[in-house]
Amino acid sequence: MNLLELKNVSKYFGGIKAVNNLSFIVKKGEILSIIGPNGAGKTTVFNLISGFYIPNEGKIFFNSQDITGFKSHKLSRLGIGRTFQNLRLFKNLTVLENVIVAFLSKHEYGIIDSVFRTRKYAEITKKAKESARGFLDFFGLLNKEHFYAGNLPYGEQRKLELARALATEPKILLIDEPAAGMNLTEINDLMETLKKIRNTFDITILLIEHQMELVMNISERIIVMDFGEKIAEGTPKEIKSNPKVIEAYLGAL
Amino acid sequence: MRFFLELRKLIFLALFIYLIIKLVIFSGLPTDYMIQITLYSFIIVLSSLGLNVIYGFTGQFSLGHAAFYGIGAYTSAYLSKVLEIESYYGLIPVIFLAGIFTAFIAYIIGGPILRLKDDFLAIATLGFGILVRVILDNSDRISEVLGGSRGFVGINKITNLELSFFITVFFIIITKNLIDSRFGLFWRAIKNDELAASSIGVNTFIAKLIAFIYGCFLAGIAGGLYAHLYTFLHPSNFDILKSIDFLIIVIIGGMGSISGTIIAGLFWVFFIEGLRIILPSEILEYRWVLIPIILILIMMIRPYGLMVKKEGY
Ligand SMILES: Nc1ncnc2c1ncn2[C@@H]1O[C@H](COP(=O)(O)OP(=O)(O)O)[C@@H](O)[C@H]1O
Ligand SMILES: [Mg+2]
Repeated sequence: MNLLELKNVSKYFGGIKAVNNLSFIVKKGEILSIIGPNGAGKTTVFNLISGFYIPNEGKIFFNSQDITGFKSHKLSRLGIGRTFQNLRLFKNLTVLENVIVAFLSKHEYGIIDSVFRTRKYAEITKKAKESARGFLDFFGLLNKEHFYAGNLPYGEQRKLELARALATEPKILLIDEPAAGMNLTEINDLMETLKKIRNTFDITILLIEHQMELVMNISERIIVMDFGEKIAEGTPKEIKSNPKVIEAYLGAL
Repeated sequence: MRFFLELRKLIFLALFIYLIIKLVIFSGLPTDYMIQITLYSFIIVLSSLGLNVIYGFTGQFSLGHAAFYGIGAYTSAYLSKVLEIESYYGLIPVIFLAGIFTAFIAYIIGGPILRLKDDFLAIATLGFGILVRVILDNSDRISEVLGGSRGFVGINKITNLELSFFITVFFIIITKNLIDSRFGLFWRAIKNDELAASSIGVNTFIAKLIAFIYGCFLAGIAGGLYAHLYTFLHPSNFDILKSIDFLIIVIIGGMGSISGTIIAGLFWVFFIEGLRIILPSEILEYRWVLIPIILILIMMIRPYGLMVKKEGY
């Protein structure tokens, strides 16, 4: 079953065609990776899917619904979660609060409930804490719940960003270069974490990553982009032996 | 019930402080002038708290806060004049209505301006402040009682210790509850990173609008108390300089610190008024040399505000 579909999507910045007539499908439950040189348009694809940019041409479907032009907060509520290439945590909120705020954007109570601390307020607040602690536990961050997010070491900030995204209960998670700036041990750790996420949360993952070992190891399928276009698509095996890919990308490594 | 149970300590503390102030006043030691600035300091705390929600917690820089304070002051003074209000229980609904009207104006202008960022937002709120000043200067054309550039005279003196103290305490508690709720979390998240907040499902525009409306509502309530304390309003009381006063209080108290705003607000009023008493009149105007120097010193020693050790919120 198709969870996400891009149909002939283009995005221009002035004269630059950051994404050019791109089409692909993400199947429910798979891990699909997008690779390609810097500036290929990968992050722009994420920004289009999560509503930060509106495509100049083409359409995007999620669960068969046309979501082209939807606002990002609405897409989050529909089940599209994401992380950012350059970490965007709420640095001056605690680790726990970073996750709670994500939970509370979907679990609502009103202003009156807040002002008078009604039963509903108390119940949802309790649930939010429990749920957030669960996510922190999953990522091994529970002992740091009272730290300011900005004070965590880099690798843990990456994990916290994943925890925050998962707390919105997404159906698909877009992860942008999670291994950037990590050493080999951290990358192995990340690989285990990503596998664990997929197995635990019954979730679909769309991953942007440069680290080839990681990509080849966990992806079911890979899309290769160059100059805003898709130049190849296939299993890790097929991609490794594709001459176009070797020329544009892998050869350069 | 839960509301009162959880806040028992705060309510007891407030009652205790109230009794002390009442006793001191009863002793006959403070002059009428000193009592007046005490009540005034609570009003300033209330209005500054509103700006702290908008700017300190949510990060929306406003140079027009005094305009909303003025709208509340003029609206309540007008209502109490037309309705011939003389008692404090008559004044409570009038002040509440003035706050609602101020919030309504904030809703109208918040729609377009809160889509702006940083510098543009500062300029838009500054522009709104100037617009309100011009309207107040010419308000006698709308209704003679408003007084235009001559000022609004003959307002009944109704604001007393109980009104200014308990209304301020009440809204401190409400504000604290809001800050602790999901709305407060959204505000702080938006201040940290608006884009990230929208990526986790926060409708950032609505959240900013709620902060702005609520903060301006508090300014309107404070304005209503002010009008019935000083009995005379002049457009110059509500211009950019007054807005900067509120900003100074929020900043020296610490962005996003409720206790900081309370302490800085009290400090600010007593400091400026206190200097008026202490300094001989020949050098009184040197206050405006002294005050900036002290502000610079505070910002050097405690860059995140009096009550905030590191950059919180
Ligand atoms: N907001 C923007 N404004 C202008 N140009 C942009 C913007 N975002 C991306 N680009 C351009 O689009 C191209 C693709 O960028 P990006 O999607 O970030 O690539 P990648 O993530 O594959 O490295 C680059 O040339 C980049 O400079
Ligand atoms: Mg990128």
